[in-house]
Amino acid sequence: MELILIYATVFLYLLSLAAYWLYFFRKTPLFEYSSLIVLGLGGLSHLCSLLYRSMILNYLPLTSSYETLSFLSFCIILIILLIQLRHKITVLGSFILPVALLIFIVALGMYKEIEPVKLIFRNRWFSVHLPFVFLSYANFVMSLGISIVYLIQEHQVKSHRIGKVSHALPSLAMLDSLNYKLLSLGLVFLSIGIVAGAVWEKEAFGSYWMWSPKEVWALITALIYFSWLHLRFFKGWRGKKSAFFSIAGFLSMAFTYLGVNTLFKGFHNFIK
Amino acid sequence: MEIIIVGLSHKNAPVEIREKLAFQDNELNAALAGLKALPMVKEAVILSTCNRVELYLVVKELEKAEEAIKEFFSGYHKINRSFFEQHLYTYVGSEALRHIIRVSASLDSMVVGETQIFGQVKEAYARARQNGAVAKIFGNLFQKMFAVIKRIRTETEIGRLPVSVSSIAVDLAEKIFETLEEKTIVIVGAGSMSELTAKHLIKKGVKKVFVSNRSYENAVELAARVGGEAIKYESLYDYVLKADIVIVSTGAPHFVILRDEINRCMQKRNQKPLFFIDISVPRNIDPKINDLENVYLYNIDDLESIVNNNKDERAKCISKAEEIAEKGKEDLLKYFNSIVLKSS
Repeated sequence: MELILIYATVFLYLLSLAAYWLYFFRKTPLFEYSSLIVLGLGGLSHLCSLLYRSMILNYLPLTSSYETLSFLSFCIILIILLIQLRHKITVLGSFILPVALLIFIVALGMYKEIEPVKLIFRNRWFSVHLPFVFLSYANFVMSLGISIVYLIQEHQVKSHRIGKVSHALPSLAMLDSLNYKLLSLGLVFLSIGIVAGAVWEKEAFGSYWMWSPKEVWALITALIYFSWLHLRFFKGWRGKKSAFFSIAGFLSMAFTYLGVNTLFKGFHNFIK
Repeated sequence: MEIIIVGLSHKNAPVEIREKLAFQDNELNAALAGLKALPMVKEAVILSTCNRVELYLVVKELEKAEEAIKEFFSGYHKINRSFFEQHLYTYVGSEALRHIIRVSASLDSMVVGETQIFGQVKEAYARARQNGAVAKIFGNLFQKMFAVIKRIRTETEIGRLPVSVSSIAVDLAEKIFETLEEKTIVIVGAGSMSELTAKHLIKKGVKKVFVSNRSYENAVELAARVGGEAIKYESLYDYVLKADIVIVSTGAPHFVILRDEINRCMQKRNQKPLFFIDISVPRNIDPKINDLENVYLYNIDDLESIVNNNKDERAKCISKAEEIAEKGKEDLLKYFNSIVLKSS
């Protein structure tokens, strides 16, 4: 059952990716709507596969690398859909869907059968911590993609290269405002995630903060995004500077999520 | 049964002739009725724009029809045939179908790729339909023709890229700001080029326009023409501070917008993007301001070079568009022949 849903999801994502790429070269309503609808169906099938796991686990489907990465790619797909519906920007799908798809395929490479959840994780704070952290990651990944598109477009407009590339991409104002929304929202989610994690730690281990590598790097990530917010408000660090901040924040986040698990030993290594 | 087009256009008839043969909007119903009353005319569509007047007809007895149509022009407008006859062209059958497609696709227009003409053809068809002047043959042929035009539009870039300096300024502003609504522009210098550009921007919903000129009277005049507000030349930078787009075109032989001033300005406005258009020769804006973050400067050469690129792009599209048009014509012709075969 689960495998059928997963295969359907991959198939639908690939199909919609084809539509996005075709749209990039030929802007017809057919490709625009088919990309959206097929991606929506793929997302639905993806959601069902997560819900299926969740029902069997009787817990959030976030207990293994496979599950967390799958959830992360699902959140990114959701954001792509929301932006496309709300702002009518189809072209972002051709850039960011491949990233989401790649994450999902990496997740599938780590596919594991359902295992019982350790008791220590069956905690309401922990079940707040997990989804919010991954929601924030999804926002940051999305913002990274948009930042790169911004830098490309900025370069085109600045150096007077107005042509096919600049026409295919959204306006600077649109990209900057999306980036702003995604980063601020991501920061809110990350803060909720970190606080809930700290409370859980208190309940599970008796201390709010244990200075494990994961916690330290999560804090660094959050600080990078907080300083971005501060500078944006008080120094007008918008546009290019925002984009560079997003890239720096993403690198720190990726290290927190993946690097720390492989390089350091700590209690966050439950994934292994 | 045959399809025939009789008409004239900007290509071979001067405006003095075109205006005499044109049909005003309120005359169309009567004109369509007049055409329908001709015994050899089965179906009729009248296209009358400032660049062309054309009658699209399905007729019996081709030879007689052509004469009757010329008589119709002369009779309806009450002018002598010798006045316009040598300017008329006639297309029949396959040639006629090709012509309808090429006209609608704007391949026959004064500015190739302009988009207005397709709307005008659609209107002409709708009007003929309302008046019962269209039946099965044109009903189907026009629908098929519309699909061909849409294909040309989506499969080529024809008509998508702007080819005038002022429309490119609008295009660029939209690439920077997404929308021009709620935006403020400052015009420096009361030249005709900046007026034209400003008018294009205002059409897109710009909220506020400030006009500054060394002679205050000229500023007041231009401000009145574009619905803006004249400001004193000395306080220019105070308004640049509030602006999103600044258009400069003065006769001054030196820079009137300086880098250091704009740098200060950007700090005060918290780095909100600023778009400068310098259409003056010699240049009036220090080119170094383009190095400032969130400042975008285009001078007249930058704009002209985009115009030329876009024209080249359009020209490249033309052969592709002609190809699609030719294929579309074949399809339309096949369809037309099959109907004629069935009915005979």
